[in-house]
Amino acid sequence: MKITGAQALMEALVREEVNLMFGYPGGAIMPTYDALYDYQDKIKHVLVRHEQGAAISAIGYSRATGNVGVALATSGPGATNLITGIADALLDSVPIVCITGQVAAPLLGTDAFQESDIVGMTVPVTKWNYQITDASEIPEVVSKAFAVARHGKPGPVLIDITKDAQVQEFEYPALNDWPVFEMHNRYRGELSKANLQRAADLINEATQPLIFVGHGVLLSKAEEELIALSEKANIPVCSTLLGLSAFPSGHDNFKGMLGMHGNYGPNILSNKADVVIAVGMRFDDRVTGKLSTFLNDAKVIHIEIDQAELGKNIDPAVGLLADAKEGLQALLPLVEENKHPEWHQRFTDCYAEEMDKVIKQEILPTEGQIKMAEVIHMLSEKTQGQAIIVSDVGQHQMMAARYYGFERPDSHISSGGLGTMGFSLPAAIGAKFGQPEREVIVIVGDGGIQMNIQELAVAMQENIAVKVVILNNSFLGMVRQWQELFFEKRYSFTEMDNPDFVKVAEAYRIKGEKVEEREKLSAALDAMLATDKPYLLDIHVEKQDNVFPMVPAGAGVDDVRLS
Amino acid sequence: MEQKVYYLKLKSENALRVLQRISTVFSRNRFNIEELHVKETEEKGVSLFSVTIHAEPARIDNLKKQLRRIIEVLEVTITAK
Ligand SMILES: Cc1ncc(C[n+]2csc(CCOP(=O)(O)OP(=O)(O)O)c2C)c(N)n1
Repeated sequence: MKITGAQALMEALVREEVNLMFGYPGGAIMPTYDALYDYQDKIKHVLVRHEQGAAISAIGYSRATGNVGVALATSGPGATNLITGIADALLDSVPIVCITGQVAAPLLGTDAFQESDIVGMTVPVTKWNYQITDASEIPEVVSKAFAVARHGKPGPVLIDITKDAQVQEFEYPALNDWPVFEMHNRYRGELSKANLQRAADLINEATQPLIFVGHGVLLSKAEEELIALSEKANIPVCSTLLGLSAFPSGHDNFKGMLGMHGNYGPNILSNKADVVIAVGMRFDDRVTGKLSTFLNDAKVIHIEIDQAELGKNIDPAVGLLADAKEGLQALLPLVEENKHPEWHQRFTDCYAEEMDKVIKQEILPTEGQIKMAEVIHMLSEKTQGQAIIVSDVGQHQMMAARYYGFERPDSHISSGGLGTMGFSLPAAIGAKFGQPEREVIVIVGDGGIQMNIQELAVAMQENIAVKVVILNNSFLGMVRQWQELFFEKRYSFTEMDNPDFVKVAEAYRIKGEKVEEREKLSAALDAMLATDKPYLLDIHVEKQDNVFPMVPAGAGVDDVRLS
Repeated sequence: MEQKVYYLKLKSENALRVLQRISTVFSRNRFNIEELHVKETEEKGVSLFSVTIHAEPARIDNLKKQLRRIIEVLEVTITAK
């Protein structure tokens, strides 16, 4: 039987168990949209309002479910609009497949209408990409694209399909001949017994061991193994920004977040640890601060799936090339039960100091404007740490990370590596499609919401009940904070006159409320949580607040400032 | 730090864009390519890239690992002059 390239693409996607994609049509992808018309019962397509929204919704969906997210766009501007999302997925290891239309093969290289070399442009930001000019390539290339996206350290893949390949007919492979691409990892050997034993010996002999949790724990679904290791040897746990929600915040062994705006104890005590077990994380500069003064007294056991990350920033005493789950499973039986009460006490003391000097005033203020942290804290209590929090980029992001008490895995979705403003709303829409039963809450600044605000139309049209909380300080707050602290309060272009966001929401037929007084905050949050429709809260907060603790850029983690 | 001369041999699939993928790894790390030669090997579909660069020894290991991330690259060997 003969089918067209576009039909083969649909078949291939169904075979990859794709039942949802985010996209936006245009000339060069029209044959594919035409084929999609007949596949609507198998693949739901969500019409975004900007292709950046498609890529980021695919990311949000993937991060909430673990499945591969799919985005579809036309050639030229449609394709280039995807790039920010693709770059985001690369830095945060999110498996997405982006499919773009391309001008017909005979026109390639001629500066044809809406021709852009999207494959060339995305080489540095994809794990792999490929241009299809012949329909018969589609089955195998799609299979390879999904395999590459999922395999090892996950990441984005782009497939560019010329318009003529979409309409070209070819002999359809029979069911059992459908090519299935299999990845093999050239660099992964067995986890050697000797290495595992060395790691276990280090842990068993440590007096001040510490676990660093990264995104890899969530990606490999190693949450239980992590808890088991931490409990068995009584090891304190600190998380990177992207590792949040992998380990329950309420657990006694959880000590908070690492990094620039992390907690005081995790920063200051990292350099006191004698053994650090780093699981599925990559020692990003936002975590390590000044590298030359980081973990100088610790032996590091690094469990990491990507060979290129082992030894990149920190030389491990033992590197275990494995995904977090495999690595932890192999290590667990060799680790002995232990207790480290004095070590834990030091974290408790640090927390008490942070509570006294920072947290108390942030979450329970009694006068002045509403504070970001107080909103997050209240939201955390009202939702009992069970919601999915999708934050944007800036002060509110750090406040959400610091003050929401995550109790369930895959509950903190934020753009960590790229720091993409405009991420939260489309990512939340993707997450809500993936986890319709869960409460999905956007925490966003008045700057970031305006970077993809058009996606409110998607929430409206699909009646997808994302809850949007704008923490509105009339500033590009995080940049303003740096100007205050490091640029002599020269507030260069960071103050904003904003529209009435509630009216904007109303125009999208989304209900909302503006909150300016502390007394009205609790009821407003209740009203938002009570609805099963999209909803927007415009909460006016203290305009010139700062996020502390802070490790200034370039400083060591020991230099973490509480004010 | 003192730079040394390094010779790289990369085996890869003989495919479009592989040169770009490889050169992107060099250029984003700010390594200039001093010499470059590409040819299909006796094994059909497999190309051999020979590249000469000047680099600080401490950066070679990371470079090698980043090159190994490229899906089409099958093998990387690096020798110092
Ligand atoms: C696309 C993009 N442009 C610029 C930046 C730089 N940046 C980081 S935080 C920030 C301010 C964000 O302001 P807002 O969204 O109001 O959040 P706030 O910090 O006030 O909570 C800016 C401009 C960025 N991260 N992403």
